[in-house]
Amino acid sequence: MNTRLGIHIEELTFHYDEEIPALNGVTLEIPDNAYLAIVGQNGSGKTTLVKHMNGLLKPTTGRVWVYGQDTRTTPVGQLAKIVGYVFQNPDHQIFCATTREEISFGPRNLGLDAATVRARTEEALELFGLTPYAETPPAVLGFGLRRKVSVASVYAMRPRVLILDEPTMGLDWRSACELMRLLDELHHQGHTIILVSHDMRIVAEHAPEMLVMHEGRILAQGPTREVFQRAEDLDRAQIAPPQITQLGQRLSPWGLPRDLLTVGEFVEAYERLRIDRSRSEIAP
Amino acid sequence: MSTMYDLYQPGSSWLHRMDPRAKLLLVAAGCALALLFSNVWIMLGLLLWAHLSLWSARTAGERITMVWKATLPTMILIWVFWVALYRGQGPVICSLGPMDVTPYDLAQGGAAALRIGALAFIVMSCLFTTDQATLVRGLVALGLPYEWGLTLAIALRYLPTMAGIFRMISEAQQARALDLTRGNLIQRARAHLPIIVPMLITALRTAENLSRALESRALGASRRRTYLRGLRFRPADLAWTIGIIATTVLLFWARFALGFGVHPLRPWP
Repeated sequence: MNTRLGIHIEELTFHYDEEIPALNGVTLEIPDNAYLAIVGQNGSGKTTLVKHMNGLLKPTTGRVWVYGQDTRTTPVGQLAKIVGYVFQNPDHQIFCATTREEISFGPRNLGLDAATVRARTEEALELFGLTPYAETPPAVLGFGLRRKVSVASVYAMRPRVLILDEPTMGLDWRSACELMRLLDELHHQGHTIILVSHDMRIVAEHAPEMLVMHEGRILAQGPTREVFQRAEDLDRAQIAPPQITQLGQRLSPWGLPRDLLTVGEFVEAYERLRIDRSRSEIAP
Repeated sequence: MSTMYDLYQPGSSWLHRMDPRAKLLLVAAGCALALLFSNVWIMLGLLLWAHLSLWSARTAGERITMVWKATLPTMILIWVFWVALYRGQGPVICSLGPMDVTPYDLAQGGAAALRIGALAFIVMSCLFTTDQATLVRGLVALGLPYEWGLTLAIALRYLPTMAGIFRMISEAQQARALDLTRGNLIQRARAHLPIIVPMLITALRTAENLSRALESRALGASRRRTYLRGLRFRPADLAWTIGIIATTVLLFWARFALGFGVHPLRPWP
């Protein structure tokens, strides 16, 4: 029994078949209330890794503890109370006649009483701006709204950890920003957020920590600002930092910092540089 | 993620080289024989023949395991139900409550179960060794309208994809605390509803997108189709065709005239 809060992974190896391991000796600690982005090429093991965090996959060797529970012996339904997993394609989970029913499906599975299920459902509808669609069949909603339904239906189960596989894929910029704002809000409320993403701009702007996967191993891990400086590791994983970071790095000989993550930071650094220059020009 | 998205495995074995029309005849004859007889040894023989064919075509063990994984639960279920519900002839080996089990029941249930396995492997020996385009060409050459042939080939092509989607949906719903293991048979069947509905929606969306993609690539624009690869019916294919027809006719005659393969245990009456 491991009583520590958070997710602890020890020497995790996983094989889909007998040949190449999909995960090879992964050791990782994700503390409570973390906000972590997992990035890497297709087939690097990102989704396989997160599927171990709610017991959907069991380690071939090694151990995974989720808030003290060993995933090898704890049923997925039990782990679903702690870890919510939003799959890449919302259509893979939508099946109810109304959005309200869809959102209440998870809490009902947890065996909660009717009043709690109702309260959680209404709160999720409100939080995700889905109240106007509460009686609409979710399958006929647009993709952005279907994505919101899928996140809301997992959120209604109130898991401490929320894993989202490519949450902004297929969303327009506005819907993506709105969804990410909601995830930031959930993080502030105390939830752990784990994102699997190919969108480096989203990662840079939202996740303070990141992890780079390559061929089933962890290649780099740490604060996002630092990891985006590790050009060699990123090159190996075929990942490019966001364009604004690249611009800062290219302009670093002129005094701009190399670790900028957002447009706001870039503007601020540029302003500072401009003021410093004008001061030095005035100075006798 | 290891998901098989195409049943066809390229190769140059005798089964790969066989003309699709001869191969379809082989499959049809094999299936007809599996349905014709009820003898456990004949079913085992057909299953063995299908396995030898796949082995000689160097089919990957992973694919053979996949077919076994898909058919074995059904085979076991058929065998158990047959033995439990059917009261045959002969001495009783044991009694389970009101049910008496006889060697005849065991053999008849075994033959019925093995028939499912034999049918699956006979069909798969064709699908594992024939690419989609060649299969459609074969069906069209036998007189099937091109669109029908294409529909059949696409349906077969999407079987493993759909199996992968089923697994993914099942995982997505289990992550929402759906328990598929609790309750009796009816409750368990009902618990699959959250998997079946998204499965249907996904299948319909895929079908709609695929039909639009095919139309946008000019399917059906011309009445007369031309073909990139022509079919060649070689002397070996002719020999196979004659051999298949002769064996099938002989076995049909033996079955109806002599009662061969009717008894579940003894080949001859």
